[in-house]
Amino acid sequence: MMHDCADGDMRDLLPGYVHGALSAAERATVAAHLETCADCVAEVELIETASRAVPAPKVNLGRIVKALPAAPRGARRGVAAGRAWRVAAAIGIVAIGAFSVIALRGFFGAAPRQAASVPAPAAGTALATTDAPHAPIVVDSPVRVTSPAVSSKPRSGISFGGGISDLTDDQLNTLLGELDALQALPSAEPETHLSPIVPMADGGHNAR
Amino acid sequence: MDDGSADVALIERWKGGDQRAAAEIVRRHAQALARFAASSGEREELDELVQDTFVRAFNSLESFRADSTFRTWLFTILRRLVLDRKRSEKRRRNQVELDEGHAIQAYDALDALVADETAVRVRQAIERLSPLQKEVFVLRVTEGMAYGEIATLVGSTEGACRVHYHNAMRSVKEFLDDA
Ligand SMILES: [Zn+2]
Repeated sequence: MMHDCADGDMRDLLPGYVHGALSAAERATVAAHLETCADCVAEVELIETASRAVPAPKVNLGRIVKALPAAPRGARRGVAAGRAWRVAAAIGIVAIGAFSVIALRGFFGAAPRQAASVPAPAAGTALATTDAPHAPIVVDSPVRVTSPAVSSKPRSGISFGGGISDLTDDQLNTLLGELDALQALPSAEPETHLSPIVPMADGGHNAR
Repeated sequence: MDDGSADVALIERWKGGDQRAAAEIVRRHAQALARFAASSGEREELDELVQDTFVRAFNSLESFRADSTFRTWLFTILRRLVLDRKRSEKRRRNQVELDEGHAIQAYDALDALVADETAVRVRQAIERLSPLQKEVFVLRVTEGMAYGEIATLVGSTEGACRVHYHNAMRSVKEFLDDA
């Protein structure tokens, strides 16, 4: 025969206890109560069994992710704040790039280069989401570098020679456009952080 | 303890152009949504139902207010889709009873897969609950959801949800005792 514990407030905490949804203090209170209350121990077991008993169908996460609308494109929206964020992201990306460039240059070197008049920087530029520095997306960027590309002393963490502020508006838009093009690609495997993404052959022209 | 701040941060990242944040949001909630849909009787095209939920949510993020959590909002959208689907199916069939036999067969097939005899009994007990009792009970036992969150998504009050939960728990215990 299963009895109900007289402490209703305690019983209300049990599902949260099972699923780790309680604060540390609540969790401690419940744990202490379970030491002395067989009814609540039985109810915790019942909640665990009930949780197991409700079928958990598998869903195809990759397909769902692919069906989602693409993330908003800040640069195209022309929102000042959005653009500022993206410029900051670009600076972060360039800084990260200095430390985490993966030598995919040879690989990308085989891809068609868009215009001879736009020289590539000396090293591949790592484009990555700012919060995922471990997962750089490496692009041989067509952005023009206006000052000597390699400096032995890093200046304010920016490896773009003169830095992002030296880029013209057009060049900045090109860089942001590439970011957009890359990030607009839905990830087929949400669990995989290191999916190689090939830059679009006409990259810079998408910016506008 | 998940207060929904992780989702808010992910949404901000997505708004900033990071599609991977969307993938992470899907990873966090898709399975629980599918489970909830299945528990309310939906067994076909669950993927589509869950996908629709996310697509609608992302397409109308502007209308999401942070006074409820993003999870609550997703469940609310899903629940509405399930209700819409049930309504249109009912209209199409006009005879609900016709389907009962199929449902029972589906359960038998599931039972065969579940080695745990107690779990089978508990599921039978859950199936006997009223629809609202079942919703509240399932969200409590499978997700550990708070009464307030459940109340928001089923359009009820915390107090009513608490009563539903305890009545449901009572019924399940009685069913197990009678076995
Ligand atoms: Zn107790």
